[in-house]
Amino acid sequence: MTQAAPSASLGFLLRHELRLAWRRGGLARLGVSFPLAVVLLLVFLHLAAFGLVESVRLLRWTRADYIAATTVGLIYAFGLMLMQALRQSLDVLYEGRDLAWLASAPLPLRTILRARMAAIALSASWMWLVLAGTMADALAVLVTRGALAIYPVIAALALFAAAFSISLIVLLRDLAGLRTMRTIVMVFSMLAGGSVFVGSQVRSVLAPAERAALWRALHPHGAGLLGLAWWPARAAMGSAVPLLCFVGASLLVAGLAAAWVEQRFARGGFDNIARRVVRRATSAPSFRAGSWRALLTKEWRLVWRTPGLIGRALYQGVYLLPVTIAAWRSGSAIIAPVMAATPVFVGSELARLFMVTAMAGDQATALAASAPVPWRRVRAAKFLATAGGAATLALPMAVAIGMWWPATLLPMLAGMLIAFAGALLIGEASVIPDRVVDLGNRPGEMFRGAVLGPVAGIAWALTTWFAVQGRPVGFATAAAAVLVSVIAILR
Amino acid sequence: MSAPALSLRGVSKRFDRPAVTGLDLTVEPGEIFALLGPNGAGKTTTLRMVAGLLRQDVGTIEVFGTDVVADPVAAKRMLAWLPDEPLLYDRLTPLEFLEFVAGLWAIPPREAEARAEALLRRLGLWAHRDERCEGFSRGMRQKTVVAAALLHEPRLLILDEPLTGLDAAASRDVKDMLAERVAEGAAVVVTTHILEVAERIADRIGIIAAGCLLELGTFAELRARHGGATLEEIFLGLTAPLSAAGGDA
Repeated sequence: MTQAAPSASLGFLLRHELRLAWRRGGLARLGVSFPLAVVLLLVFLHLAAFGLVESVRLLRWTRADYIAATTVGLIYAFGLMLMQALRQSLDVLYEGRDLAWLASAPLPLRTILRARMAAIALSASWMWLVLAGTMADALAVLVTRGALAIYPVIAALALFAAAFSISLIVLLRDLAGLRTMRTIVMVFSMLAGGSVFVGSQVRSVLAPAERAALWRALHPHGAGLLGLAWWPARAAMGSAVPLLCFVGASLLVAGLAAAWVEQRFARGGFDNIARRVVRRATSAPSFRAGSWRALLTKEWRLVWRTPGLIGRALYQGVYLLPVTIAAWRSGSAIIAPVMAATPVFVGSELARLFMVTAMAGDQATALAASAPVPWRRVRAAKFLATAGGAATLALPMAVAIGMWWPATLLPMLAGMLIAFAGALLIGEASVIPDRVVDLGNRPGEMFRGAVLGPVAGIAWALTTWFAVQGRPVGFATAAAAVLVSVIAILR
Repeated sequence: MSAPALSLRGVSKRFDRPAVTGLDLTVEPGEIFALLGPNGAGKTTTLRMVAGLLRQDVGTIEVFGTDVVADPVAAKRMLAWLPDEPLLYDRLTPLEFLEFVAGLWAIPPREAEARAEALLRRLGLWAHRDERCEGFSRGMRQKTVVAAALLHEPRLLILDEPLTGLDAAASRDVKDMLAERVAEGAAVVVTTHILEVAERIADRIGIIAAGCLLELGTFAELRARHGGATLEEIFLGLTAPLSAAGGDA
């Protein structure tokens, strides 16, 4: 008789989760150059951190100053960790569809949930462990050795974010259903990330006196519960009691969250995963002749059915809010270029999102490739539908701004044309060559689109800016870019 | 004499290693041809080359006398390709998906609408015509892509595991529909791992392994050449030695 092998441990599951996360990130494809890049990055970050800490030392900061600055840093880090943890929790609980299968394995559900929570926490915190860790190293060498406590504090923050995210998602699913929960979580996640970005622009939005008041308010003060607000920063600076309490609290909260979620799942939490979600079309399709019309209609439908479309569109606006407020407050001539750059950047980001989704996210590329239609026409339909979708959302903003500042209208329209052409190129670059379907597409990878997109959006928004200001460089860049864009679209 | 429905002459394709080597094959109109082989034998690659998704390195492929490389649009107009995984858009409904396919193959609108309704009704999807495919089961997805493949009444059907995920009734319906198409003069090339299905529906059978065609003929001819009561025995007798030698990879 054979003996049953012991059940999978938390460590085993965690290794599995990490391997999945690693492969999702695509970093494994970099091969041997990855460790080299990591070493170079760490050296660079450490040099920068030592420079920064050295310059702060010249300001003769007190411990209270360090605590205030650390508090700000931890709030930013937590906001962004929360944004990422929410999306990841949604993915691993309800989108990934492997949880129900994993739960059929002979091990307690709470072990699976703990592994998932730890993986979410690690995924949300690794960037901060690198960034804040280098600062911690510099502070430990130059200011206080206690700053090394930043490492466990970041890990604890990430556990809080993961525990909160998983609990919120399960609670909302129970209260509002899967679809509403998904919408709320997407919006909440974007707001969390957006508010961090807005917060990071406080310096440019507030007047000097207001900034000074805010800085004073961030210094430790008050007793009792109010005083607890500075415990995370105190913990990060190496105070033993706050550190032990903070890390202990995070482990406790994570354990409670896992137990609570396990209970919820035991009471029918898998129902929503197994149940078919029925979403109906609002109007019946009308069969019409022609491949061109069919391609356009299909792409147009898919663009408008992009999950979280409105949230994503609003999110792009959040980026620009602080700059716009700062420009309004300044009351100078800078307002027109700022306003003109806004719809260009929003349009660029949306076009990139739609185009990458239409190109790299096409679920049936091979179907169109097997149809009696030239690929050129498929590509053109994707471009027109995605550019049309982005223009529908960004153009009203541009027209409103153009009516107020007529000189901005032409540069804005040119900027959008350039931005849309850029989105097309980025979308094409994002298509991973498929060994089973030869579309003649250029080699490229998803993350290239993710990097090129914002850079291109900013570049074209700056071009618009300079064109509105009447700078020759702006006109020259815009003219050249329009020419290249037209060629790119028509080729 | 009319051109064969499908003709492959000396077709080879190599990725990091040979996938298909010197394949010669002819399928006549009104014929169901089963292409069998172990995993990684080169069946899917062959089908994708016929469908114009991959270009062969060497050799020629013709669909009813039209070279798929020289005139891909004309060749594709005559054929339907059903992949091993159902390719459809989660955010479209079955009817919207068929509308899209009808447009791609330029089917006159009235005709397309009538055919779409008939196919969806026959496959039991009419009640779900306005629901997005994202919530569909594997079988419902498979039915949707089968309907899409039959919508333009192709003269050559290239079907990669067409019965996967279908229940018994739907499976019977699909086989009947294929038989009807064949009776009207269409040709069907089908791959399947369910050898009983191949034995029952195929007029001729080709067995490939490691990219090479090992055998070709009717079931009776194969049995006469290799003995064995069932296709499974013949298949395993031909492919097992290659699989054991690593030809399965």
